[in-house]
Amino acid sequence: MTGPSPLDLAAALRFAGRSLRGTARRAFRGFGIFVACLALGVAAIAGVATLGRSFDASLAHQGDLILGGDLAASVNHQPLGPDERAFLAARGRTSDVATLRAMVRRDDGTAVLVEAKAVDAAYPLTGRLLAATDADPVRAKATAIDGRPLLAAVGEGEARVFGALVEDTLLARLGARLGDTVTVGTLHIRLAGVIVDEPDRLSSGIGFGPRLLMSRGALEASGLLAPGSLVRWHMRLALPPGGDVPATVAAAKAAFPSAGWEIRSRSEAAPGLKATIDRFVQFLTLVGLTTLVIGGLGVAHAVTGHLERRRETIAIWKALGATRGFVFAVHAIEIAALALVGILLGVAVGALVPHVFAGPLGGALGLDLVPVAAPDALGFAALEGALTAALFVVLPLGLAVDAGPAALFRGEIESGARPRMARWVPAALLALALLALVVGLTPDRRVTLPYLGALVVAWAVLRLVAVGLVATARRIPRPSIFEWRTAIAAIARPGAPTASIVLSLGLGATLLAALAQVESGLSRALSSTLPDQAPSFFFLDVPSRDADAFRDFLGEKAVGGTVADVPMLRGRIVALKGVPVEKAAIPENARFLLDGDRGVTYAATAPANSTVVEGTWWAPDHAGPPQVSFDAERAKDLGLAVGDHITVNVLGRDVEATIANLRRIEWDRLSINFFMVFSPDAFRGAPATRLVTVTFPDGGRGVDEPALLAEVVKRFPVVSAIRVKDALTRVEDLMRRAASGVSAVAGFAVVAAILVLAGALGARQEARIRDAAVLTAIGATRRRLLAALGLEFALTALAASVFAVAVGIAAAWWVLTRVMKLPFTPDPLAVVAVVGATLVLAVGLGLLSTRAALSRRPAEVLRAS
Amino acid sequence: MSDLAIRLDDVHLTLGRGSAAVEVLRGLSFAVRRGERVGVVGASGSGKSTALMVTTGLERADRGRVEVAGTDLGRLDEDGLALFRGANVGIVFQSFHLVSDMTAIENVATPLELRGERDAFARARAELEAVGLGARLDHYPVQLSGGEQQRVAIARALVHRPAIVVADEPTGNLDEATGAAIADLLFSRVADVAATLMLVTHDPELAARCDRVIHVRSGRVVDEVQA
Repeated sequence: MTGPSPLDLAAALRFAGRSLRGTARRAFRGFGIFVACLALGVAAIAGVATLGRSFDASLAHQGDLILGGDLAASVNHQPLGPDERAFLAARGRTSDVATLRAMVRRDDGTAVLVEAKAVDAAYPLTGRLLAATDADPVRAKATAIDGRPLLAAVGEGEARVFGALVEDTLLARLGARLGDTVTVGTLHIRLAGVIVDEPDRLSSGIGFGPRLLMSRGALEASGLLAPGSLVRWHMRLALPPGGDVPATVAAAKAAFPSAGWEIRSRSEAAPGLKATIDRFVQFLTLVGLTTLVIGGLGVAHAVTGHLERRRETIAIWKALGATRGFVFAVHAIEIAALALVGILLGVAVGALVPHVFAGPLGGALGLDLVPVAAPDALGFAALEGALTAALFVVLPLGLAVDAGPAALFRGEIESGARPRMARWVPAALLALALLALVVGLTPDRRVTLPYLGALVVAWAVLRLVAVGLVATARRIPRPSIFEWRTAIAAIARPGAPTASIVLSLGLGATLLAALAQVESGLSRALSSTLPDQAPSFFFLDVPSRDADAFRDFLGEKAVGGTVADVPMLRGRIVALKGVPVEKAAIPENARFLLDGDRGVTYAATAPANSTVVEGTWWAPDHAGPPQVSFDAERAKDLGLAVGDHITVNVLGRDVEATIANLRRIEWDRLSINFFMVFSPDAFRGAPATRLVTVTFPDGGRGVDEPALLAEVVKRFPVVSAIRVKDALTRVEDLMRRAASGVSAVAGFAVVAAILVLAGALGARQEARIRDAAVLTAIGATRRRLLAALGLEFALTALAASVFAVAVGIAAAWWVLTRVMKLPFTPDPLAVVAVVGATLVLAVGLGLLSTRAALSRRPAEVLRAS
Repeated sequence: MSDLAIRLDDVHLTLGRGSAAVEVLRGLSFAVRRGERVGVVGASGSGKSTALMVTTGLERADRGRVEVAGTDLGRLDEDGLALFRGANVGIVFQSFHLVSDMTAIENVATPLELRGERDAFARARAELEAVGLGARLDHYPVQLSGGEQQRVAIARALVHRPAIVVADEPTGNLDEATGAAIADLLFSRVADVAATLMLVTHDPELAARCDRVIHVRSGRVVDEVQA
């Protein structure tokens, strides 16, 4: 085949224009679904991408607000030393903030864990804290305050009462109102106002409880600052205008190399949130890509239908002397023009997505999400759309173009012909280009490649199912019942839309099945399997001096419960094998281990629920250089082995330890475990607090946990209690929110699948009308025809959904057991829901699309044909 | 240069596959001289229309030799055949086969456009005027009667002055009066351009207007009658 010469190309453009004119005269019949499928796929990818960019830009632009300054230096357990403080204070305005978990309780025993924040008068250095003091926060007019009027103590002497600003959810959970007095630690504090906007909320990440904001004075008076308490101290610095943030950070690190502080600049204000959003956006992009692939089916189907309608024209052109290259060029130009419409529509919708969702999403995250234009992201989405369209067009177009004119006149191109090998080459190149683009744009190939692999497997399985279904329908003996016989014959007939229905429905159902099974598996892992083995409570900040009393108290009150306790400190890895972590090559999936402080402990013997898999545990009376036991999996991620050295900064002191052994840890049991356990002498003399758990044998059923909590908080007011059920509820809530985001994008894929299905069903409309007329003429009633059609769609959908659910379950199994290390059992309800929805959709849409076929008078149809 | 415009020698062709296979041509052989007007007649299913398809390269013979205007069609690929038709052959179909999305003038200009002729539309206009459709240039096929559509088809078949014109039942879809007028027009225009005519028809009267009539049965020539 020769390509068109420049002259041919001009003629091809003219012919394509005429062809488009004809398509327009037919009101773009058959191309509505083509355009919609492309638009949906591109919109999903473009929308997710621009939303991701908006998040990035908002986090970057509001870095100083989120961080509470241009930079923040943070340490655990104790405030920064005087030298470090003086260094920062000399460079601009500073503010001291302390964050910690604490219990707030009312006199009636109601207790709630809060994320407490103690601020000084300079807070906030950037932005405005908005609070409402009206008793009804809904109607209250928020006012900007700097905290002083509300947070300062009122009264004198023993009657001094500090104020606190709280999140409104705390009022609801305490059953309290503004003006009430509650107890934090040992301090009575007045609920002075409701926080409407806390500018630096995001910097502290996702917490276990609502915010309580108080003054430094209140914190000092609360009794919560026991030695070793898990308090994180931050000193924020706002540089004068024009200040050089990176240079200041570098100077601080250089001046105090052993300060043990973590210094964040405004450009990395919320690294955890950014990483989470990046991962989420990446996953949503893949779901968007699934939409595009399903939409590709619609594209292929629409093009096949269009070329079928153009069959005679192609034959005529060829009879008049048109070459294959010319015919290909004419149709490629026409289809490209229509694809451009779909792509532009998708890009436009995608560009609007951040504008539509900025409010609710930003509100949910506490971020002022500002939509941004992301022309490159939109361009890439358009390119992915164009490549997908070309990929799904090149084969059917090639098939039609390569058919001989006589075959085209006879209408033979749909009778099972296969594209010739030369057409598979551009198809393969387009597929590779699309793959390269998707993989090239992804930040983490370890997620993308398995997902794409699963997509290809699902496609291949469903293709086989379609072929097998048609082959089976052709081979099985025809039943004697008219409806069954007609339905099976319809599945098997040449040109039947069986393959399109199986693929479109199947891919949509696979995605839904996988998401439903993952969500269900996660939910069950969190809410049913774990609590039977997991503790009911984690108690933090139990002062060492009160450890025995606390255990005795629990022994008395938590009847039947098993109490475990370990010392706990916060520490940050500062060097691996002698190389500072800033200079070490750390894989992306292990970076979070080094991003901030981690809990560390020390023990004479190996903790429960873990097994030493390499190396040996130290002697109980070990008294040599510090040794550490490391989580085997994390060690592998960080490239650490037994015998390597790591340096951890605890309480401002660098401690170097040798890795003595590696443990495999059963994290899913939620019992106390740390990925680093040191030999007992490593932190000798350090003011550690105790971490205590209570585990009931049957998961706490029959135990009045709130009452136990109230008693603990009353007796030990400085102890923070995390009720596992509450924490799991919080995690489930977060998971549900994430799932709703995924579902929203998956909704695009489902709509695309429905469009493809509708297109596949509509493509056979004329044949169905003719068949229905003939069958009616020979005595078939409308009811029997409906039953036969319903059976045809139901059998096809059943085959598609059963295999789709199987692939979906396999994908969910892989995600839960291999990625999340959680147990997996298929959820039969989700299976029934997906299969049922698929059947209802196929039969419903199928019958709806054939109503025209059944409503035409047979005589009219037969005369016309 | 050979005096023959068309020569088919022992041509075989089977259509369909497996149990649906039908041997349509079974050693078909005949020849047509330059400028000659030949009618091909036969019953339905005799292979006469398939013979036309093979002669124009729209269908490829399984076996045997097909030589048209001095070119062995078996040596051409699909695109070669298309270019060959564009240069040498004009076809008139029974069911007209006009491109529905194109106006009359666009349909007629198509063969010229495909050859890159710059004056395609001027010549198409002249050709349509020659067949009596000067007032119907911008009408779409659906806006034309059957007779008018066939006139457009004849104009399209002749506009590029092919050496050979083939017509497959050109009056088959028309009433008697219109059919007669179309036949007159076809013979007249073919004579005007001095083309060779191969006319496939089941109408003995129409065939009788040719110089020679070939009878086809079961894919073979069974008789030839000189007019």
